[in-house]
Amino acid sequence: MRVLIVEDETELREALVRRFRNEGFVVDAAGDGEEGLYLGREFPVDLAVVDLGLPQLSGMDMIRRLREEGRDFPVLILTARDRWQDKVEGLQAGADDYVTKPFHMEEIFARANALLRRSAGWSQATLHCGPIKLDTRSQAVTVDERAVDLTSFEYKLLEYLMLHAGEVISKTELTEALYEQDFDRDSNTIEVFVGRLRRKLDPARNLKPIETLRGRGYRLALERSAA
Amino acid sequence: MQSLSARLMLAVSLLLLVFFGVTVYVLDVSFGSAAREAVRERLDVHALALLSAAELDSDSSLTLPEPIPESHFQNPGSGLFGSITRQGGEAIWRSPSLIGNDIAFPLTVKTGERLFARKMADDGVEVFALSLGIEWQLDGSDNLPLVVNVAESMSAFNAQVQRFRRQLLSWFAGLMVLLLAAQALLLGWVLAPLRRAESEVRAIEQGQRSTLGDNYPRELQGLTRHTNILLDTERARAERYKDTLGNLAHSIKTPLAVIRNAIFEHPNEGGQAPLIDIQVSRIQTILDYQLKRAAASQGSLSVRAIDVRDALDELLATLRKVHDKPALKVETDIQEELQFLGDRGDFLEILGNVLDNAFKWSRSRIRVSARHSTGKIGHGKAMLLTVEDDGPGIPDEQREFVLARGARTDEQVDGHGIGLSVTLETIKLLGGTLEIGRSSLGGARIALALPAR
Repeated sequence: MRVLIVEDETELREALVRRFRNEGFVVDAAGDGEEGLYLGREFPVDLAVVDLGLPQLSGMDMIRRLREEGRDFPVLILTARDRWQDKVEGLQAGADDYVTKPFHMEEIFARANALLRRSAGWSQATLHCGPIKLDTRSQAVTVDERAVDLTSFEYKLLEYLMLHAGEVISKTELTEALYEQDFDRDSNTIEVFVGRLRRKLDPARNLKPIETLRGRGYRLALERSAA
Repeated sequence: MQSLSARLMLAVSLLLLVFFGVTVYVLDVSFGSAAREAVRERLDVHALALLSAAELDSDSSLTLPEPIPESHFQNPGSGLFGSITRQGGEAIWRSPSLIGNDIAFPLTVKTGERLFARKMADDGVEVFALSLGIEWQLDGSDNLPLVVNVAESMSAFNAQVQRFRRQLLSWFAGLMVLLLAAQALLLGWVLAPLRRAESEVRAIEQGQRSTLGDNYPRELQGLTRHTNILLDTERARAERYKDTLGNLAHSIKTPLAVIRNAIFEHPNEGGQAPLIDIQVSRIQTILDYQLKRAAASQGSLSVRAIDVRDALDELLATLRKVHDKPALKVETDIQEELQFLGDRGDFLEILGNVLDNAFKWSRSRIRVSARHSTGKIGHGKAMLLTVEDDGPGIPDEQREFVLARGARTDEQVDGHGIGLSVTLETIKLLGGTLEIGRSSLGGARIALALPAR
């Protein structure tokens, strides 16, 4: 998952970046609205966390411009102004949720995850495809009620595929969603991780959860279940 | 006296009364004296007619023919009387109309002199009397000095004067009514710009316009221009004030967020993390409470008529995004074109907080209804707005606590617990009320009385 963090207060921005990286997110960070706008335009962002009180271009204007340009990733705003008028205006500008300062980091994650899930069309916190269940809050994965132990990267890969279950995801998209901007992009790495994930989810090789579409990418082939 | 029109009406009416009073008096006096003069001339003619009818007897005494040419002297009720006396009072001739009656004519009148006076006849009738002193030339060089008296009852004169006065008064009364009516119209025209200014100020108060209009007469332009400048600067000041509050919130809360995050990243250093976290929460609660209270509008400059339906839709769109409850059903029943009268921010704050609670606590249904109520707030209309949910409701014993400053009934649900208490304070500032009850849906019912248009 690729998250864009736009916050002018260095300490807070760095803390957010650290926490999101620890959770396995790919992070792009900006200290002002102009830079945030640039990153939001140039990279396939899955989620943005935007402070409203930014220098140069305000957070509200930045979100409005991104929306005008057709960027529809979910946006979580951080705001110290918590009058309803401010919240309504923020969400009218195109944001999807808000967290008021000073926040607990857990609240940011809960809301960020809920936004990612909802934007992919999932209404529940647990993603459910065939026998595979992935709980986005506890990050626990089970297949037929059997717990599966995944590394952080494997979890992120599965979460991304499950969030977009049924869709074809190209290697490039996966790479950009799962790797930092300056990471050495060797497409074989993705293949290796997909291979490991297949073995952990489907040791008997009868479920075949992840399809490879030659030259196009991968697809999670199991039906989404209504939870 | 508070009304300009009433002052002007009174002043002009008094002036008109004085003017007409003097005019009526002068006209009455001149008409009276002209009428007296006419009577005097008529009596003169009668006296000369009597003289010319008189004949000198051979014994040098005067006789008048029977009947005399002027028939009114014959008739006792005619009101015309006459007598001829010698100087000294000895009667030579008395008109038949004087039989049984008498008038105290002067006994002597100098030759050639005319005495004209009002007198009272013995029967009580007032008369104008003219006495003429003459000398009748006898044969030879002797002269007979005589006094010729004629008198006329004043009843005809009085009737004439009364008629004149009646006519005069009715004309002037009519004229006065006309002038007052004209004056009222004129006043209406002259004072129209003031009335317009008054109605525009009221419209500003009710949020229907933001400034006074143009095209005022020159005498009022200074006033309206300065009023507009005052309104603009006050609004700008209020905006700056709210901006400053927002900036203050931002500049304090961002470092608080840094502190809070730092203690969670390094929870074990010094073992102070829980203490610091609690203090950060306290600072946040105090800040939120005071900033929200300060931001609540207290003046009438930001008063607007806010469409309840629109504001509700905006809030519902926001709340639907923020609360992850896709199955939640919100029923709304809002009276057509119902408008809240006040600051938009205040209305969103009040309704937002109440709805936010309903979204948090409801299981599957929320019902919002609003309509004009029969009550009043100040001198204006009021609306009753209710928000109901099917959540657990607020137990009776907790209702006061929920409204107390900084309280929250459940630490599990996020929110800073100052929602309803700040809402209540804002509502009180607006003159409204908030009541907590139980809904037929099973949960809480919050009923708000708010100013409406």
